[in-house]
Amino acid sequence: MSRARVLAGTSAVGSERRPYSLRRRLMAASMAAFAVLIALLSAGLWTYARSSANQTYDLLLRGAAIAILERIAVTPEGIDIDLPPSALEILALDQEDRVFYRVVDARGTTLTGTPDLPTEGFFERSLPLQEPIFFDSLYSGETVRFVVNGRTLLSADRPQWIGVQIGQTRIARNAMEADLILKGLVPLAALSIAGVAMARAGIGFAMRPLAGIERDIRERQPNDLEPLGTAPPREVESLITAINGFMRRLDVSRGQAESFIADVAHQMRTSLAALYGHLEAADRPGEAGSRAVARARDQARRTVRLTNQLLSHAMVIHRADKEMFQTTDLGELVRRLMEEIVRDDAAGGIDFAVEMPPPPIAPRVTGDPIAIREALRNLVDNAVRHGPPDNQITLRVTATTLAGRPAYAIGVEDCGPGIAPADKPKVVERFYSSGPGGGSGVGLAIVAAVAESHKGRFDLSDRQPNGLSATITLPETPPPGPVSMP
Amino acid sequence: MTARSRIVVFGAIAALFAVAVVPVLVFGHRPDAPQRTVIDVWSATDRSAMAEILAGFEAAHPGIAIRYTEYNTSELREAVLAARQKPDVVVSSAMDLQVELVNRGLASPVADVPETPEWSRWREELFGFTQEPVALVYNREAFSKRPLPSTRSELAGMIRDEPSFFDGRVGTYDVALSGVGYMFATQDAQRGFQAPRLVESFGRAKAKTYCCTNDMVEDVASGRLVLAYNVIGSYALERVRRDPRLGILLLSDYALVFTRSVLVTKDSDDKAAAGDFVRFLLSDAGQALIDESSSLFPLVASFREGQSFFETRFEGSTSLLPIRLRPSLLTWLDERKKAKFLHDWKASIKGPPKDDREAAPKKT
Repeated sequence: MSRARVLAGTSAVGSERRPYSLRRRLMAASMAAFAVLIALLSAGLWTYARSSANQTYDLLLRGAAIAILERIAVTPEGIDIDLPPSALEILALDQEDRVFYRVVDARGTTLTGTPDLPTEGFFERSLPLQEPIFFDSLYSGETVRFVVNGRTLLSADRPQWIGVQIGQTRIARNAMEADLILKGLVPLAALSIAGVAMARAGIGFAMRPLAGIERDIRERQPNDLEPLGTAPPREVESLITAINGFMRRLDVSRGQAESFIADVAHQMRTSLAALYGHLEAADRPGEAGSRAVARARDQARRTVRLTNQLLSHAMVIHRADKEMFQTTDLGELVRRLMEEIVRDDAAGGIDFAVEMPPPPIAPRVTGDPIAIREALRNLVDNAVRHGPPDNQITLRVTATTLAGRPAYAIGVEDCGPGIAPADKPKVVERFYSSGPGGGSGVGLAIVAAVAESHKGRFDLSDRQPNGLSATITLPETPPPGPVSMP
Repeated sequence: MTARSRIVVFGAIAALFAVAVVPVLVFGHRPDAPQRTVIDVWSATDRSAMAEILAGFEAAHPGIAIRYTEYNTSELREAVLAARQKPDVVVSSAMDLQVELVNRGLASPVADVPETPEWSRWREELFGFTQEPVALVYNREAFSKRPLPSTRSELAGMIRDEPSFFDGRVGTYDVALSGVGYMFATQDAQRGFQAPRLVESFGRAKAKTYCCTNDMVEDVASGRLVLAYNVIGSYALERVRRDPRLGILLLSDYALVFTRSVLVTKDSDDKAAAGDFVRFLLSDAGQALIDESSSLFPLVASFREGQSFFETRFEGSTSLLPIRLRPSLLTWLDERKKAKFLHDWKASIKGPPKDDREAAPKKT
């Protein structure tokens, strides 16, 4: 019953929110990666295009400057400037660009050409001699690329710097730049589109096994808990293994639950049939009738106890499923339990003792306090029921280890008759009851279930000269891994 | 020459019509009455050559009137640069000066202009609309008994060999006075190694220099000149067809071809109408008008027909060398370059110094 609720819970959670899509995530990631890549490449492409367009056309400017400088000579009449037609011809090769030029001396006086060309302060720096200066400047309503180069004229009196400044609008450069960018971007964009398409196809191909697994699970009958048959890809192998493990446990526990229900039904039926029999007999007159009434009362009491324990058992198992673990102070728990037992104790002749580990050890475990308390309560009840009226019952908490991990052992010792060695494995099974005044046969099964749900253990041992020691050992923190179903 | 400003007849009639009729039709002033857009065209082209074209444009665009102002080429440039109120359209045969105006950023692009040869347009701002070869005009009677020169080299050789025949009877442009004359001379200098020799031979022959093609053609017709070198072929051809005394020849080594060009100024306040004028000039209708009713040669028709267009009109077979509407023309506008060229040209055209001249007769 409890498992059915767990399953219903998971499917309810699944349908509440629309699940994310792995395909969409992969697509988004690959497209984002492509976008970043294209952005980076475009930036690089732009820089490259600009510098190569500049380089190409700067060579023309430089050549024109050389052609003009070459035709400047010193004559007896002064500086002779014979502007070669080739200089402007070079710059006018089928282009839309406007050109500007001037020849200047070291003081910035324009000897010929357009006097108002922008200098961008190159006269303040060292004047170029062999290596030209290039700069962009706004002139005549457009951005103009300028070159300045110069040479030293050797005249009679002293050497004299003479320079030429040539400007060309950027139309051809910008066209070349745009062309280079376009020629780079088109294949890049095609590549990206192809990449995204291939990524999409690849993702679909990679996801196909998952769809197969999904179909396998979806198309199953509700009671078909066979392991998944498909050979899973490595990436989801552990997921499939986990699903298969889960299904195996589900299968086992469903079997247990079925047998539990069958057992419970049988016990209840037997118990109620006995009660009915006693009540039938109660009609008889005389002593036989009153004996039957006493037996009926006794039977009713046992049935109530059986019912309580079955409910307790079911609760313990239910709580183990729900993982209600918390830090539990065993000392506090044992003290309260003891107070309760002493208060309820009808016998009154029993001597109870509690032994705790010496300080500073504070016995704490991570566990379900209610389940632990229930287990201890059952152990004490057993000790009371099976022991003599002057029983001595000791609850002892000791620090120990379990499978290499720190743990606490809680022992309940009595002076009763103990359990025969052959019976010890059987008593932890459900509905196995031994000896006279035997209980429902559920109590030790509850203890065993609690020990198992805490990854602990439950031991029964004999005491000398007589008596039984029932010890439940709980790890301080349960080791990781799935909580096994009892 | 001073600037003569004239409002085109159609514009004047329209204005008269508006003044006379509108008040009769409606009482009072109507500010929203349809008005004709007036565009200013400043041009260095003979008015007679342009009149039919302007009339054709106004007929095709009734909403636009043209105010046509004529200049010579050098004046035109100065006027455009100096004007506070720029004209809408500038038309000139001086390609170098037009390129300079565009290079200064004074022109504005015109869209959807019909396709023309690549050399005849620049930046979609400057458009050539004619194609006119530079030719040689000669007096038929003077050359009736002697062969015509076929190349520049031959011409220089003839002048050198027969100084008495050519003495004072050769004409060419005064390059200091005429913008186109300067452009022809500089293009000759740039293209042909014969150019200095030819100018020198003109100097020896005491060549006369002129401001204009028409004056030269007139003197050739009257026999004062035997030939005139570097005349505008279109203007000359018109005279030659009417006058049997004249012959016109393209020298076979090369013939320069120049184009009259038009631009719309950046400051024009009606670029759409100005653009319409440019598109009209290069439209089939405009080009047909240029061909039929003006002395100019259309660009598109002559471009389509190729060499044969000129071979049917001129004597001699030649290779045509179009002058390209490109910034390389600016080279010759450089002050230093121009001063130097004019100085050299003047020195050559004046003829050799005296002691040289005394030596010259001994040779012959």
